[in-house]
Parts: sequence; structure tokens; C-alpha cells
Amino acid sequence: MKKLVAFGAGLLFAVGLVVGGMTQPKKILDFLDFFGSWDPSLAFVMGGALLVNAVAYLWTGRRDEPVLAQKFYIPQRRDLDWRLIVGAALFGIGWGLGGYCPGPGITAVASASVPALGFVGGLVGGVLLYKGFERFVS
Amino acid sequence: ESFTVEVQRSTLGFVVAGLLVGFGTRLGNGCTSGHGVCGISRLSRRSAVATLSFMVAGAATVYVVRHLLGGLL
Repeated sequence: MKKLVAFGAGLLFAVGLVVGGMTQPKKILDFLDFFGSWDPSLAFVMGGALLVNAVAYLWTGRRDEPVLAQKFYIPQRRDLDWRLIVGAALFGIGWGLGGYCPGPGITAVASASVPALGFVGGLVGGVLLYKGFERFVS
Repeated sequence: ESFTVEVQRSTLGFVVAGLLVGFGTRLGNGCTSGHGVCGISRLSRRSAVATLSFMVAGAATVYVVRHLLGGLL
């Protein structure tokens, strides 16, 4: 049942991304092109998602436990550290370079386009690189 | 249509983009969905800072690549 719900959530997410135009790198790059051909679409997609999530967060917050799991997994950290800021910045550079982020990139694999496949290949590589980095640092 | 790329970028460019996104997402504990949507909607300061960081980085990257490098890479 949990797997079914997870699958359904993924499906809904993917449909939303595609309908919102987020699987088209040009739309993302145009949004980030504040000084050039600016396309505000992404702001509406993000804003809409944010609003829905805020309502869901408040509504489900009334429960002690979720329906399909033992507990809610809400991040507890409140500190700001270099990993957060640098990590986000690196993410931002990659995002501004390719116009994809993880969700849309993986969804775009459905089109079997070379850019999407290349991006997801790099994505997996980046995660593996991070694992190596973590081990090296500790 | 839905998956058109319409961006002049080499395949290597997309692979490098993926590397940065993959590494950066793990290092920063999130991405546009994790921090931008989920984090901000629960008023997380960490997520607000992360979102600001990637928005600035993204905008700067697009500026450099599109307007300074003429869309090369």
C-alpha cells in the first residue's frame, strides 16, 4: 500500500512538472535570465507547489503519526553551515548550466533525449563523488 | 513539446551540470523541491538560505554563460 501511494505521488509529481513546463531546460534558463529573456513561469510552479505543501504540512501536522509510516521525518536542523550554502551554490551552478534539477531531469529520461540522459548520468556520478568526498573528509 | 531542450549546450555540458547538481544536492541536503518547496513552506531558515544561494548561483551562471560567454559550453 505504501509503495502504491509512493508510486502515485511520483506520478503526480511528474505530471505536474511536465504540465508546468519544468522538463524544458529553456524555461528554467529563461527564468534565471533576469537580465535577458525572463520567463516567470517557474515562479508560479514553485509558488503553487509551495502553497499546496504549506497547507498539507499544517493539516498533517495535527496528527501524531502519518497514516502509512511509524513517524514523520521532518528535518530538525536549524544551523547554517558552509555545506548548506556551498552545496546549494554548486547545485545552482549546475542548474544554471543544464536547466535541469533532479526531479525534472529524471522525468525527462522518459523522452530518452541525449541531454536528459547525460544529465542523469552526471547526477548519479555527482552523488557517487559526494559519497567519496564524505569518506575522504571523515 | 514537453521535453524539448532548445538549449545550445554540448552533451558534456549536461553531464557536468548533472555532476554539479548531484554533488551540490547531497552537500546541501536538498534542491529546488526539497528546500525551495518543502523547506520554505514549513518556514525553515536553512531552506530559505539554501534557496537564496542556489537562485543567486543559478542566475549568475546563466548570466555568465549566456551574456558573457555567448552561450558557449
